[in-house]
Amino acid sequence: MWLIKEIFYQRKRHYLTILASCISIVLLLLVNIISSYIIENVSLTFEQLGLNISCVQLLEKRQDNWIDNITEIYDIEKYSPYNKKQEKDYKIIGCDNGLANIFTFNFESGHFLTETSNLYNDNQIVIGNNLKYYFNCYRVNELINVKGISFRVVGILENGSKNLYEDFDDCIFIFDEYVTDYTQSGFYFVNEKMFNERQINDLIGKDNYIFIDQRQTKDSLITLLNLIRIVLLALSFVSVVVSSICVVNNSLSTIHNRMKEIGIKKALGASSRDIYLQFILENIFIFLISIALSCLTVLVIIKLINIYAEIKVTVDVFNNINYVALILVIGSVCNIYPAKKASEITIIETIKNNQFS
Amino acid sequence: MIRLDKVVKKYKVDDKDLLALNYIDLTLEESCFVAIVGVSGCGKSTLLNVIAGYDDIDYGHYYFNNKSVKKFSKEEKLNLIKSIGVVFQDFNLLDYLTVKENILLASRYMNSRKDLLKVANKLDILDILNKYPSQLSGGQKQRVAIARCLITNKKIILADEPTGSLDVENSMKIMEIFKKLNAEGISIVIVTHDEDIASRCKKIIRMENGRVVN
Repeated sequence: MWLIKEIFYQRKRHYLTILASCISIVLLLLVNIISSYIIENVSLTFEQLGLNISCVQLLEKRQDNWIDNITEIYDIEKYSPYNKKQEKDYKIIGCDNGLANIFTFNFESGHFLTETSNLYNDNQIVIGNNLKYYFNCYRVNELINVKGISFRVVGILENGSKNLYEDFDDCIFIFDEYVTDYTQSGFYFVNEKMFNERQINDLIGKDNYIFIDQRQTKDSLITLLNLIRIVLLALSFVSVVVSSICVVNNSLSTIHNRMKEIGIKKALGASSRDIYLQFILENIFIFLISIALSCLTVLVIIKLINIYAEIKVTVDVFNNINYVALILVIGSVCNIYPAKKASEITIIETIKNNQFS
Repeated sequence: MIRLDKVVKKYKVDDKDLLALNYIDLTLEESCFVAIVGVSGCGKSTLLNVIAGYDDIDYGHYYFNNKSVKKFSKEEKLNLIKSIGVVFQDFNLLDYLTVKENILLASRYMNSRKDLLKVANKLDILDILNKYPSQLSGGQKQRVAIARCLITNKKIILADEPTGSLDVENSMKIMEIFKKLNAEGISIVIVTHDEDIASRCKKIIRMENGRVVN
């Protein structure tokens, strides 16, 4: 009760302390909460996307010769149903990002589905000119059967001099069931169960792609975010330390102003320890007030963020309690020096400073 | 009870030693009622600070209850301060505490405590216990300061110009209180430059240039 009354009386001197502490504590807690939220959500997004997805990014610029590279490696002749060389199963070497990219091949007389009518979820196939006779398929959208698997024909490469790709009349581009996702141009998603890196290496060529594993991508992104988080937390801690130094400075000037009080108490029998404890307890109490106000401010800010940003940031009490405890420790440690200074003031000093008469 | 033996207290002023107390010999018996009189700067406040245990001496001996204060441990020195009550000219009450809290402040640091109401009644401050110092007159403030000494059962009260900030009427009231307390066995030492106040004490000690002259 004494303590509260004394603190309340000195409140004007404590405003600066509380303000400085509050700003740094709010900063620290917000950094912790927001960064935790970001990391958690990035992680969750990857989980939802599917961690089994791997990604092959082609390094070559996808110009017209892109198809050359692919078909060369694929050795379509070998597996072409037209040549009846069907000893091996069909394998998927990749799929295009919808028909938009096939259009870039600039077939002058080919038949293609429009981009909007493309059905990603179906098994889709682009067949060469000769294969259309083999499959007896002259229109897009028809179904053909390759080794017991049904494919929807989404494009037919026409033969003839006008066709820039007549050399590849027999090629097959399969939008396979194993393809798990599509992204922007340049990315080919394949199920990692179907392909390992060595196989893709054999198919596409060692220097032509980067194999990106979704799990690795997630891990490296989380590591990066954690690094950013640590840096931000470190900066926030620096601000806590800086504000603590301000608090020390303020406390020291407060001590000078409170010489009379210290002198009276010592004259009434207070020991240096009593004065020391009083200042320490006072500062802990002030820090507790600052922490309480900061927590309240943080909760309000989070609530506002949730409302206006339409996201759901939650406050994990246990995750933040360590930081709060740490702030309290920093605050208490920083106040040891002013408390010690206050306790060392002698009655005669206060008399000589004309605080007493 | 209190004995000073050739006590010297020096202060440095412009690199020169100034003798505030110049080989002072003094004895204060139990239940004494003494006035220390002298002009400003004669060393009477320094003497009071030494007796109260606030200041150390440079030479000589200060015996409290026949024990040299020089040999006191930190705790014994604190006990010396606790056992002597000091009343100041400017009262030295804490503004943010009520009269009651100001009086009880002393008992925060000491185990023994008298009944607050009895003490307040004795000093006629019963009706102002819940007021703040800013709401009191000078005389009331000084009575509160005296009550603060009495609440912890002090046997010696040193008063440094206790009537310096008071009018004649209030000064007389305070002196009456001191007289009553002395009659109850409490030793009173008053530092003053007011001969009229001094004349109300049983014994007058005159100081000049840091020396006792009578």
